[in-house]
Amino acid sequence: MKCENIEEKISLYIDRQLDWKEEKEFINHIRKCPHCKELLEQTQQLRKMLLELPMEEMPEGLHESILNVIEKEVEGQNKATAFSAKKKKTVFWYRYGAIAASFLLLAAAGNYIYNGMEQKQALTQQLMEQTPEMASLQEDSPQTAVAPMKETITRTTQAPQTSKALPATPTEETNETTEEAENGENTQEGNGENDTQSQDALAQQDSSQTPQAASAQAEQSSAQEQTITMKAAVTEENAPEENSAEQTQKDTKTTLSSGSAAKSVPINMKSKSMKISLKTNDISKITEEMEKKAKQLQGTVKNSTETGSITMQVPASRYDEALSWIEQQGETAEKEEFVEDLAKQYKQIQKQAEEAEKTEKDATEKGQSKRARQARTTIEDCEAALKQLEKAAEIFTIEITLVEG
Amino acid sequence: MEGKKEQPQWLERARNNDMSAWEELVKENERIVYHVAYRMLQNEEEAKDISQEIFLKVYRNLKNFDGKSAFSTWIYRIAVNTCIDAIRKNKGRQTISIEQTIESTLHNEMPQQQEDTPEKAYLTKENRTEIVEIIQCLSPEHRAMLLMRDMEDMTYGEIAECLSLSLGTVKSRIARAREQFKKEFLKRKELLQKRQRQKNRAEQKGGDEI
Repeated sequence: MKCENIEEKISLYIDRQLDWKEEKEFINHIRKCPHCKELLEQTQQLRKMLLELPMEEMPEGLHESILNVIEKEVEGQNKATAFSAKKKKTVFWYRYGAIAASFLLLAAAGNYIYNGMEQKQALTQQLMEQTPEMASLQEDSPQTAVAPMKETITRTTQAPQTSKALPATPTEETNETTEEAENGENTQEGNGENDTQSQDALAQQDSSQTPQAASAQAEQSSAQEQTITMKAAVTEENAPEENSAEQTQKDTKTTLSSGSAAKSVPINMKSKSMKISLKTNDISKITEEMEKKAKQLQGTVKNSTETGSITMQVPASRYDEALSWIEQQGETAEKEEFVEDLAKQYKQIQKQAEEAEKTEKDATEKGQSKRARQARTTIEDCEAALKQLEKAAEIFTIEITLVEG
Repeated sequence: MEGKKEQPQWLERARNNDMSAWEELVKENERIVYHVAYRMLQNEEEAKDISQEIFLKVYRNLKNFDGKSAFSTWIYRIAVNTCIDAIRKNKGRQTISIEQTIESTLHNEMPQQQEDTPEKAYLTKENRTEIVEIIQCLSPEHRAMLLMRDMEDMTYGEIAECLSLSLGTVKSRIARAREQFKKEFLKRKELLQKRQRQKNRAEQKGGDEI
């Protein structure tokens, strides 16, 4: 016997897998060959080492997480068999979770601004004779930032709903009007006695303007109306001493609902998602095919190990194509489409952004850096939320559950 | 003809999504599943994730379990195959070179006993972490063979049944896995000794100068 294939023979010898003749030959060889003997000893020692390795302790919480995964899977399967309205809401919740988060941020940021206004009102009432400069100094005190926190919850729920119909996105032409309106607001904020005057002045400006182009005219006047009605609302609020933050919100809401619709909102801004359950014989093959198809359609695919479903995201223009292809891959057990009009949300956020822009400008002019920063944060949040909505309108989602059969 | 084996009493209930049956199923098998996952992946966090994935596969394929093998064999097969797939998917990250492992060991400390009893002491005192590092240098198939044969002491027949391989394939794979493990082990040992000699020389030189 030679040293050829000695490792395999050593392995088989250790495990008693050689027949008696092979074993005899092997033993004879080991007696004569010190090199192979050393190799045998090494292998035996390594095996011993591996056998002696202690068994690992189960990490804490693993049992629960495994059961959770199974439970979710069971729920997922139930979902696949029975689509309910409740589930539909859940899907939407996930789909627009990010957008909702943006709203919350937005409302929280807006809260600071509104509170700045509130404090101003209180100051105006308490210190009627105080000059506007003093009021603005007071506003930048730390109390302004701390006080609003308690009311955050109320505001976050109300803020996105304050405007049903909204003003147009500001254009160069409307800026002038807005600025004028802001001047009025400044006067009113600085001294409560000037409320009526500023409102009248604005009304005069509004009626005296002669817009050049028809579209610009509509936009401009609607912006003016909006600003004036807002002024009126704020003016009314300033009168009674017991004005609360909630009242301010409610009043503004009522007044704004009579405003005009925004023009710059994309027409037919919608998001679509489809939940489909497919019966198939070869799940793994279809999963692979879906990845290829998604790439071809310039989309993406995600496999969820938790729910066992596949989520395909495709550009809106390829949605129908993707859907018809998916339906060809197996027998459609169930399917349900969700369509949501995003234009309304888009308008609302635009409106928030516009208001924040006004506040920023006003605050900058008055040298209220804190208020300006808060307004800037709100503007940025609005922009982010608008981008998210645009993305939701561009990319549609198809959630596919594959069922064997 | 292969008959059906006696199966756990909770099996049918688990098939009908009875969560109390699943509780029993998980309780009875989680330890071995985690053990397989940990030994194959050599990383606690990944082992936890893979353990969940394994049970998910068990859930999804339970209706396909024909009862011809023991349930424990079936779940073990799923565990090993899932781990092999996971390692293959993360090949670049999972399989590391022996040089990398040696650097980390040297960075920590040298084996103390190496000077006195060079080989034998090193072999017997080799700590678990170092074995873990060597295993990480192996292919997923070789890891599976060492796990089943040398760590679990499963028979060739059991391994063949579990992985649906022929006995001949099992024999050659085990031999190759051991050979590879030994090769990496010796390479590591040689590197450690070389570094130790360099260190000793440097220390001696420093002492002479003083």
